[in-house]
Amino acid sequence: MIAQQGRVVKKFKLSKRLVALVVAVLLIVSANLFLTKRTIPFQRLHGYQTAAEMIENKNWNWGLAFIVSLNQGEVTLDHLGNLENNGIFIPDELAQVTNLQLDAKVPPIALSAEDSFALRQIAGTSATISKTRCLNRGYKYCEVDILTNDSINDSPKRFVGVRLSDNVFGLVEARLLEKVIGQVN
Amino acid sequence: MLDLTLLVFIALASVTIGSRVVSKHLWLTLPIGLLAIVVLRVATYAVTAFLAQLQVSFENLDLWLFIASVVAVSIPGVKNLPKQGWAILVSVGFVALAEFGSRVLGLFTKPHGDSLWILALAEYVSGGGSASVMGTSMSLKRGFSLILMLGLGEGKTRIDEFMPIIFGMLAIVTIGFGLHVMRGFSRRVLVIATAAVAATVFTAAMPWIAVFYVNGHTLVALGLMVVVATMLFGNELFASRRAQLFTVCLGLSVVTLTRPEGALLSLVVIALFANRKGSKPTEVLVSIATVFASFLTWMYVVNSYLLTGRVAWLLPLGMVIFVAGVWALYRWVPKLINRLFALTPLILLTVFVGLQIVFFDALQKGDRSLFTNLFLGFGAWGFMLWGFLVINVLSFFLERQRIFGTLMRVLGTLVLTSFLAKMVDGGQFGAPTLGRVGWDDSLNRMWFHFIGLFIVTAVVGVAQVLTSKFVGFNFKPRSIDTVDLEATPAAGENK
Repeated sequence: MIAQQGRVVKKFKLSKRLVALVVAVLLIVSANLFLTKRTIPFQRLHGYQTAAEMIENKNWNWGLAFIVSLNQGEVTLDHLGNLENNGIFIPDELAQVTNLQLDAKVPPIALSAEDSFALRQIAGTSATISKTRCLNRGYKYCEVDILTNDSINDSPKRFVGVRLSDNVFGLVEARLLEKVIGQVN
Repeated sequence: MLDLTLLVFIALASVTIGSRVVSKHLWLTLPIGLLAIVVLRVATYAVTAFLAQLQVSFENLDLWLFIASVVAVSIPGVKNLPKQGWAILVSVGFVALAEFGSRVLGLFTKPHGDSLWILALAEYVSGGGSASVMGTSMSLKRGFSLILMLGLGEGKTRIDEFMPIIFGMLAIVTIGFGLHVMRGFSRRVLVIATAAVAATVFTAAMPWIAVFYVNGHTLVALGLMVVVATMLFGNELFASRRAQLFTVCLGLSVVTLTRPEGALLSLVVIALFANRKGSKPTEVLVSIATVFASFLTWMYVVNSYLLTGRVAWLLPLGMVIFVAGVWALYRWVPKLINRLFALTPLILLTVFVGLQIVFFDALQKGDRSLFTNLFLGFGAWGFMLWGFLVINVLSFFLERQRIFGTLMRVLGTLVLTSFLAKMVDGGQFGAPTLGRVGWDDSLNRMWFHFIGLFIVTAVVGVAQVLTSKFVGFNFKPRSIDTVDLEATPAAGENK
């Protein structure tokens, strides 16, 4: 029945409609190919990589716990706060997977611009850049600088959360931070 | 080597399990087999988690339990294997292709935080980590079954090849479903309509991203396609109602276990098809109970943050009351419950429009992002939606294929459900993150759940534009019964 209808339609209408269809498809295909931002649909790895190894190459969202763990081992992070009180957000499950100890009871210490500058100026201080989810500030992700200094402490065990600026956080090795702001509770 | 061995084992098991349910339609046999494998994985992992609480545990217990259960379920179907040459070839062929793509060429998911999350937890699961780690709201948002499937190895290794295999199964079921729906059309119309839709869909980036992208969207799409195909054409494709119900429950279970909005999508699908001719109240109740049982399994295995401690019993109690309520309505006011089911799309539309009006300001950013992503080419969907829009507008001027209307109703309702689910999670009622411009916006990715349905609907729509009679504007167009969805007797009854 329908096949018959299809044949009847083909004789009288299909040609015009087919031309319209081809034009429409060409328009959409051209727009797809030339008007959209080119995106590579997948990446190419050289061999099997663990999640942590992937983080080393790409600054993936949610990668903070892995980056801390990879670079510093099993350490304690405190003064993290949480999403609601303008803090650094590391989900519990990722902390557990990476063997990090978290203390999120207190929000990050807000550093003055001078202190932030002074921290980076201490000879030997190095920074590893990552990011955290940070809702409620108009940003979805904020930068997190992991600051260490081997000449002050070459086997860090504790990192303290700080706010370096409005949308940049820091995880600063405790003794390094004490050099700038004194005793940290 | 373990991953390849496991994948071949799963490929063969998919054939044996699938062929016990439906043996003559390869496009359903393999996906049903894979869905059964996913459900078995979750079930055996749940048993492992329970045993761990009883201090009964040894290395790779979850893996061995899974293998044992798959063998047990597969054995009765082994006798079907000699007749399933094509199915075996396709199934093992997919494994070979996936292995080649993933391990030889090194193709892997596009970098994305949610993928990293899933991969990290899959490694943790594969290393024998406790399921309770996943008992947070963040983990809940990333699903359960996919983590378990990728973590089906040992010693913290993942089986990433599942992603292209799931995509392949989705492709098979979409092609098979499409051919079945289009069987009333001439071959020429079929080829032209399919080519037109394929050209507009596959020149966009999203379908290619989905091949390796690590997230539950493809698995949900597979589950939904199998359920919808079974609901629509079960009487023609399956030998018994039991096989149909089993398949529907498998699909709903996987959808529920894979994404946080899965339970909602599943319940809506049940409601959409509850009134189809021949549908029995017991089937509806069993389907709802399956969704709840799947959700409860997930919740209790990972110590859900939703309900813990003394109130933990409230969730199952609420579900039992719900099922009992539906049963009572069926018993005493069947017309009312059937009317309610029929009104599902309208109810959801009313809620959606109401929320859009009430929370107009708050939802503006999300709505703008949605339009930008879907219609201006920023969401990796290209401009295909414009074509779909034109097809839909034209359908109001043509004699409409009845199946087109049916598919549009299903598609539209599921899209509305996704909107509402996202509002609860990340929109008005959750953290206000609904709507970012870019492919990785979560609502934008959620549309992949319906890619199979979308493609089939679009192909029918194009074929309809090419062949149907112009009847002038008609809001309720005259329909053509291409496929009689309701009156066809069960295949078993034919013989």
